[in-house]
Amino acid sequence: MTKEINIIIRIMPTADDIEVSLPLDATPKDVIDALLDAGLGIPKLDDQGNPISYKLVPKEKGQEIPQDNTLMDAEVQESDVVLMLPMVWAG
Amino acid sequence: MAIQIQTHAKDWEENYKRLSWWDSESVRKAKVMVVGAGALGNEVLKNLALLNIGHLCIIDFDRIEYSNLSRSVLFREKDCEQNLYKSKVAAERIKEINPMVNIHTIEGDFQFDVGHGLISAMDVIICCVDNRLARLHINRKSFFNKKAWVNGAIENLIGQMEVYKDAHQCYECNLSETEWQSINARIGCADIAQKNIIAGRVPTTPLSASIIAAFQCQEALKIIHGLESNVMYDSNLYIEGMSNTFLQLQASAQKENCYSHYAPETVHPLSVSSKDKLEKFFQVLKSDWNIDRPILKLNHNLCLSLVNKDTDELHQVLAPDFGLNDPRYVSEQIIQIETKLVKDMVHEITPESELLEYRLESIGIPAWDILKIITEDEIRYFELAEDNIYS
Ligand SMILES: [Zn+2]
Repeated sequence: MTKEINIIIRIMPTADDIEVSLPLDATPKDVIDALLDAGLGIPKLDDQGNPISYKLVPKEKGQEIPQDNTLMDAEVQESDVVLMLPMVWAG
Repeated sequence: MAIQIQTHAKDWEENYKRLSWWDSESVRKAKVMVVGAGALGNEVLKNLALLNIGHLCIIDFDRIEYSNLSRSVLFREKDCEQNLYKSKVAAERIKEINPMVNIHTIEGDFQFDVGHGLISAMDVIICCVDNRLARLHINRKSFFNKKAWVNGAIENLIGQMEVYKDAHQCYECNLSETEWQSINARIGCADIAQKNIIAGRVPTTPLSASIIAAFQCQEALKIIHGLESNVMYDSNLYIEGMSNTFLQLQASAQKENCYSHYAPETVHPLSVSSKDKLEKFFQVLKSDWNIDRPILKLNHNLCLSLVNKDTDELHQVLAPDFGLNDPRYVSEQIIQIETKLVKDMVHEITPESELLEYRLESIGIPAWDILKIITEDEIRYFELAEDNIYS
């Protein structure tokens, strides 16, 4: 079984913290999809009905976890705070 | 005692000249393209005019609506009553702020109506659009012309700013699956009017617009001054005003096999305009460049006939595939056809073609474009140099 780590996901823009246990082989997409489906009230769609694109950024590193990386590849550590940032596109 | 009266010559940059790094000549010669004249574009243009940037090029196909007024410092109520173009009005108001700025406007779509030559003449492109598809094309065209572009995006109190340039970071390389979904949804919309229906409902404020626009102009100013090592190529700005979040995120590495990464080594000037006929285009290729059997490769499909799917009636047309609802290319009768099925189309033209009587612009080639020519043994690129607005 894949090893799990406990981290804090900070959902932006509300800055709500959620403590989660995640497998180290999870990709950003796995994590984001699971959080969106967990009934936490995180918006999936914008006001136009388009899916919102989120990126995961470990707060200390300040670098987006690449889409094809796992949490282990990105060296996410126990108790890390990972920001879940909605990407915006209006002008 | 005689009183000596000294008069002071007007000098717009008098204050800026006290900045150690300020270079008046570079600023006055600078050419900056601003794509999108909405909330962000208004703030960017206002800043660029105040900074005395010599040449501005404003691209926007949209007209002013009442809902724009609360976030657009350059627009007035009378402008929406008169149904005026954003780019034209913005240009007029900028001239009121600073009459020394030279302004060119295009009331059209960046993807189809902006020639590569115009982009290659710019020092930097500033992106203020409201959709990801336009950003994708700004990325591709900027990379093709080896130019940096500065992206801005806002929603609510969130603002983002990134600077893209080949060998630093690429917008296309960084698109997520979700972002591709929204791009493909927009590609699926048949025309600009339809695209607009799904756009512009996002809540934005002049606050994030002015914050992000200021950062965009700051980066553009560094690029204009050649201060490359100071440009934020390798980190991206993300701010969220309600939670007081200010992040400088590390840019992601470029990937291989990305459509955006191609740029031609050399582009040759051709004494031809988009208003010239194809016949002249091929003649000049032969007389000036000794090219005998060229093939002109179009970036789009050129439709020659289409069928009204409701009536099975066949119609002859000559229009780019993106212009089948555009009065510049087709008649009102064609526009009225709800379901069009393209029957015949071409995407390359030779000197033997039956289309030589037509002007380049009538087959969807924008002014000052760079065209791809395939000869017997190589691919070459030619710029429609007669359209150069800065020569
Ligand atoms: Zn790329």
